Amino acid sequence: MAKIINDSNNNPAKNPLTKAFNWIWRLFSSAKLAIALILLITVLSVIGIFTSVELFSSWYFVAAGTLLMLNILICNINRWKGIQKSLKGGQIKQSENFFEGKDKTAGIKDFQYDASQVLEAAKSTLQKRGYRLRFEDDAGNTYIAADKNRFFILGTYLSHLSIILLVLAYIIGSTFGFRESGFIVVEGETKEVGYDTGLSLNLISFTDSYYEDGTPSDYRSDVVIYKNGVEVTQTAIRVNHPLTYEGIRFYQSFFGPAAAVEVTKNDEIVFSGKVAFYSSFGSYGYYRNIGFIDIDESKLSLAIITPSFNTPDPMIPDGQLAVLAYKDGVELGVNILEKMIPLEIEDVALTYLSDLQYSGFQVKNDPANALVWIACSLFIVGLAMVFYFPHRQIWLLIKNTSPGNSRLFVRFMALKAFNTTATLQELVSEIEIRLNDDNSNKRGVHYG
Amino acid sequence: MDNIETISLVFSIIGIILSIVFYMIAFIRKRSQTSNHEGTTSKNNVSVKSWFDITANITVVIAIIFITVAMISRAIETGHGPFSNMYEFALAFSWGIILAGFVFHLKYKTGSVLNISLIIALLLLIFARVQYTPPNNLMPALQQSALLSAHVASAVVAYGTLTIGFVAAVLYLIQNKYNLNWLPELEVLDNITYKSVIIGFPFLTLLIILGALWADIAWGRYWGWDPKETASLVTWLIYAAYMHTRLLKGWKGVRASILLIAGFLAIAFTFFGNYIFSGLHSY
Ligand code: HEM
Repeated sequence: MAKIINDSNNNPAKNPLTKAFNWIWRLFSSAKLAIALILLITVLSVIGIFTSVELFSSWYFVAAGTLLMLNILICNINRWKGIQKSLKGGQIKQSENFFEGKDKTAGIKDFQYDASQVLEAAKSTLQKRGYRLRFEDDAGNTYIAADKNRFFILGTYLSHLSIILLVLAYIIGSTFGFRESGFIVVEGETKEVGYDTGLSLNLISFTDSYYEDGTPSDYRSDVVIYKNGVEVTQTAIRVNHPLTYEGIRFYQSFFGPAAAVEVTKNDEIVFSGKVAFYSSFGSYGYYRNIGFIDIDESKLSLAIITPSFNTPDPMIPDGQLAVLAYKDGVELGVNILEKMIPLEIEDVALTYLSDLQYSGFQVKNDPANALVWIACSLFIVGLAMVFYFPHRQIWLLIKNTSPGNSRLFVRFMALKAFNTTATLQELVSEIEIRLNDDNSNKRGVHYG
Repeated sequence: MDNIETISLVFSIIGIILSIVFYMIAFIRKRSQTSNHEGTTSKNNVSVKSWFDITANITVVIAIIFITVAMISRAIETGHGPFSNMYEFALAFSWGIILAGFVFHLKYKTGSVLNISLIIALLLLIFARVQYTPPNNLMPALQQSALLSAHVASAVVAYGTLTIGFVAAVLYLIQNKYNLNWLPELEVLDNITYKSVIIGFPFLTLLIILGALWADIAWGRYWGWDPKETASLVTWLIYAAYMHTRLLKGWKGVRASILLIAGFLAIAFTFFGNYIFSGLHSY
């Protein structure tokens, strides 16, 4: 990739395609664009909070996110050369102009010591602070390039790449995984999960428990899982305690009333099973649950309705159900269904056997689960590397000005964010103190 | 237990008020002395002003101890970290703000930053007192003590330090405009804001990651764009923008301060979001 950039920089592009590519590449190499996109996504998110979550799947939100990902990717590819240079440590010998930066990152200091003494003091000061030193001599001048924490600059790669990994994890998860958010099973029922998993779930019982003040304390489904018809595990699924089997996760999600019913036609059973009243609707302030059965033999559709759950129901007595029947889409009327008393509708008889509960699960397979956690960990590690082990580079030039006198040039480089002034002053004064100490020991006090 | 908690809370409120008063007195004396005896530093004056400063420092430490006692007795009572209602959050966050403010004060000797942070913490403590809720039963989704405690702990560090950054940013704008000799120098304020983000941002990131981990275990999804989640993302993006403008463009000073103030408003919005968005998850 780095090669492509080189070529494009050296030869002015002739081909319009190359030209366009270069233009796009340059655009996405820009930190300004990155900052603009981050702010744009921030603003869109704020709008999304106050309007609707639909915004987050809108084309413009997705587009802004995609552009940012592209931006991060291209910036990081582009940065590689610079990073390599930083890892090597850059050129040792610098011109005097380099040390005369007008900003506060450069300094010049005269000493009444030999250059060799200043060199020793600078060397031990920097080494004590954990700097790596490289030297070069030229015409009696000594050049030093010092750096520290150089490998920690790779932290920005970890942080940035992990963002792309997260997006990748999302794409992998939604492409190769599945999510069934309304997997409803009634007590006593066994239902296939589908999605080629070969799994089925049998709900033994569902229990909802409450504290004394009526707030919920626990939702618990006792289940058996079968793989290709063979029992593989039996366990309880609770909120915050999903069941994971072969990467498939079952979450306790919702629950509600259900009933066991039987339908006979000419004394033959045509439907025997469970109805989950998984839907609810309101009319005139009464909220009721509803479930459905289709009896194909008689072209009948039955909507079965529970008594209102918010206030006492004047229409459907407690412990009974209402049945609204349709034949070929034409409404036949409403009847009340009492437990164990068959109700005749057209040519069939419907019996309400017993009350049950249903449990609603979310079933999910996310093959990128591990990737999400790798990415998140990398992100934090990367942040810590950049923030707590800041990369620093120092260049020094020590030259003899006259016998017994020398001049020290220092130039400090670090990320723009860091306050280097204080560190620069600290460093120079530490070199000075060291020089004075060393020499007062050796040959008495020598005031500079 | 209930008693210890309430009494400690009241004592901590009194402690914070006293330390604000002591810092103010120390500050006013220092000002009048420097303006009256320009250039002279009589030994007597020095000892008087440091007496108030030291008393204020001691009072802050005592207040922190009282909040800690209130939080510990609450935790013993509930058996979990401070994550089940606004009272517990407010207590924990004021603790974080005071502690962060005090640590920054020790390092940078900036009484004004600490003082304003103490006022914010005081408002939060009073809010906590007003919102007092006896320990409530945990609904099933909140029965994930370890993860949620870590989640709230990250929030305390992040919000605590970022509040200090916010205060320093506001002072920066004031100082930049009026150049007041009794406020810290611009460079010191700028340095405080940056250091607060250096600590706060990684914890903000951890906070969101732990929240997503919990959401995945409790609800089967890492991220659902609900208002509280989105608000925390907005907060994070603002601080990411701050980091990048600073790292790449060398933004400091006014523009950086404005971003930090926006970031803090986002934090406040996330924190009080429950009151704005009824329903969804009011915890
Ligand atoms: C949170 C941890 C992050 C850290 C520590 C971080 C750090 C950095 C640093 C140090 C640079 C400049 C590198 C250089 O030029 O030497 C940079 C550039 C960039 N960052 Fe981040 N970043 C982080 C997160 C993000 C996020 C969340 C985004 C996007 C949402 C992002 C997007 C970018 C982009 C696009 C650049 C490219 C600018 C360029 O190289 O010219 N970064 N980041």
